[in-house]
Amino acid sequence: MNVPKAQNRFDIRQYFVRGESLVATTGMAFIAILAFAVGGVVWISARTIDDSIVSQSEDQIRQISELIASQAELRLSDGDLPGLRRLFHDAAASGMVEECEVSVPDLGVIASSNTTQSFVNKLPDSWQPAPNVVASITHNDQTQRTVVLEPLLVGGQSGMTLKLVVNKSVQVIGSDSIRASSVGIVSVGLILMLWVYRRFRNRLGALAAIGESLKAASAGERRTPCLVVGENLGPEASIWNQLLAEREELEQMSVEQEIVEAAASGGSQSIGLPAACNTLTQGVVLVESDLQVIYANGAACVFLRVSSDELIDSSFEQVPESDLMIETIKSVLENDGSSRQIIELGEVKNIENQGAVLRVAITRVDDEDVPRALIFIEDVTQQRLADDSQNAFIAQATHELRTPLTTIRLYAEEAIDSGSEDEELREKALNVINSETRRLERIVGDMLCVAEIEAGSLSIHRDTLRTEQLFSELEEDYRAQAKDKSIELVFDLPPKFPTIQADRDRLAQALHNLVGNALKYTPSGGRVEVRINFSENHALKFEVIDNGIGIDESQHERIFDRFCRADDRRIAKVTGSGLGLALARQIARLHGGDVMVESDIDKGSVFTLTIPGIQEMTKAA
Amino acid sequence: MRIETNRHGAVTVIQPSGPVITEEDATQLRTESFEVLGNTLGRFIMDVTEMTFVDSFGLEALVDITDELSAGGQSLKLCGISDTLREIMAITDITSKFQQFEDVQTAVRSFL
Repeated sequence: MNVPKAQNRFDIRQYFVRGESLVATTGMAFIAILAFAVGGVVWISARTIDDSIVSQSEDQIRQISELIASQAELRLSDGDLPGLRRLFHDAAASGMVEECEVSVPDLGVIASSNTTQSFVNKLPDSWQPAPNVVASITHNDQTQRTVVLEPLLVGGQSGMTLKLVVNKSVQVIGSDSIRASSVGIVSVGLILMLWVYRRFRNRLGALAAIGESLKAASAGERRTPCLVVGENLGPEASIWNQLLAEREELEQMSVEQEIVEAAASGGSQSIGLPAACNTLTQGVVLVESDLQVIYANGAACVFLRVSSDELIDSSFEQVPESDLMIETIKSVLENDGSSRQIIELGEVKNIENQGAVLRVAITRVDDEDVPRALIFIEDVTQQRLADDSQNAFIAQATHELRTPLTTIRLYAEEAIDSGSEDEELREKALNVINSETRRLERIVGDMLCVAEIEAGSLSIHRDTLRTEQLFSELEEDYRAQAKDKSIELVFDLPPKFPTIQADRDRLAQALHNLVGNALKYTPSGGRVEVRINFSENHALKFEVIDNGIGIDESQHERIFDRFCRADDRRIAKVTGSGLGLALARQIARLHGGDVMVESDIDKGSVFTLTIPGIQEMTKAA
Repeated sequence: MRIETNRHGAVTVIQPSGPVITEEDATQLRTESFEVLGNTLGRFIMDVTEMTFVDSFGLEALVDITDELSAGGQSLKLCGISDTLREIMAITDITSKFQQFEDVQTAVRSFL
């Protein structure tokens, strides 16, 4: 049997209530800080007391030495050596000093508190002065003794020295007792604090656990089981858990209330559904059998040109131009079971006048035997326009293809019939077939090119192109057509033909379209001039100038749209796919250039194709 | 600022030229866009190729237009966005409010 690994894994956290570790850490840190503070205070206090006692002791020793020195000077001035020895003896006996003695440089010690020593009985009249002796107090920490040296002035003569030895340990009241008592007090304090901490630990743990729970809630946690704290943490924890339980209960009640309200309103107010429907680009409307609108999303209001407030809870009949929709809704609602009808409103030709083509799908939805109609509205104007353009294109393309094919078939039959008898007729037929075949090739090329543009895959392949050959072929291709139509075709070629970087087939396609259009829309007897210029940078400027029917200024941009031809009655009988200029511009733009037009009605047109040179292309890049 | 309006099939293309840096520019852009929006049921795109710069007024106008479109479940379709405008939109964190297209043809095709 497979046992999940998680069940066997040891997790120390299971032994802790939420917040226990925090409480322990906080408590220990608090104790450490307090102990450090108390210890510091005690140490500083003891040190201060020590310093104070030492200072007092030194003052005492100084006063004693001054007193004994003054008394010794008096007795020495009187020559009372026995009195001096008695004084020293009494001082040592009283415990003021441990030893005291007076010494003279020549005679040594003449009086001392030590009565076992023997001294001179009479003070000499003069003795060797000792000017280097200065008053001093010296402490010896090891022996706990303080030695005081005091120079004496007897009868105006210096040289005598009083030496006192004081037991410091006697004088200094030890600070160890202070330290010991302080440690005792601190220990008792710590024990008391530990007792208080242990007593209130649970309640502190509850506060810490509630704090962590609040932090989790602020981070987004909403699940009640994740926010509760241990009940054993005290009354605060119980109150917190009770609050959480009440919150969960209120939330459940709120959700239940929403569900009840949604159910009562037929589901139109169900949670989040209106907001979701408002993001749809298609209109959604729900109507009752009496045409009362229950729900409509934002797109529906836009399509029906009414505001949400006007539409919802009102009759659908107030929607402008809704007769057909109302008729269809009624028809759908009258049918038993689920039925669906689709209608289209508006026409493509009306789009210039704020019109649109709307596809409306109406479906019957029964909710507990209450019939309702769900209306789904889509704006299909652009699709219908594209369909119409495609249909027009297919019709025109069919016509364009049929014309050269018919010519080819007729001349082929004529060539076959004539056999080898009429060489001239056969040659003419073959020339016409050749010309029409190339025309057919161009039409098919244009159609393929359009397909590539539609797919977004039209691309060019630049190569070094010898322009002289390109233009000579172009002139040759259209020379016969111009002659047939009695149009003067002039090629104004430059003296030198540089090579350019371009896609030969695509560029030839664009130039053919421009020259072909000029010949097509220039009446007989007219003139078409092709001017070719190259800059020093090998940029190409190709101008086709005709004195044909011209184009109205309002149509100048439109004629470059795919499948579009200028709105002009004069060209109604002229066949054309409406692709040539769109392709020419697209090809020029893929080369980094453009095709522009300047034209006036009845005065002719100038189409200019430009291809930038290498340097310009580099700059543009 | 100059605003040109062209039609590509059933789709209207609004092409503002020049910087949109004053309240008057923003009001003009907003007004003309709202007018087109009402007439075309939202079938319009904005070609910002010639819009050299926008400040807070211009950004506010663009956001207002896309908010108006969002009432019908749509959002403003922008094409020809320059690097500068793209950076400004990214800094102000409003890029997601718009649909972006490389060129007008691609944007028009999105209505099919």
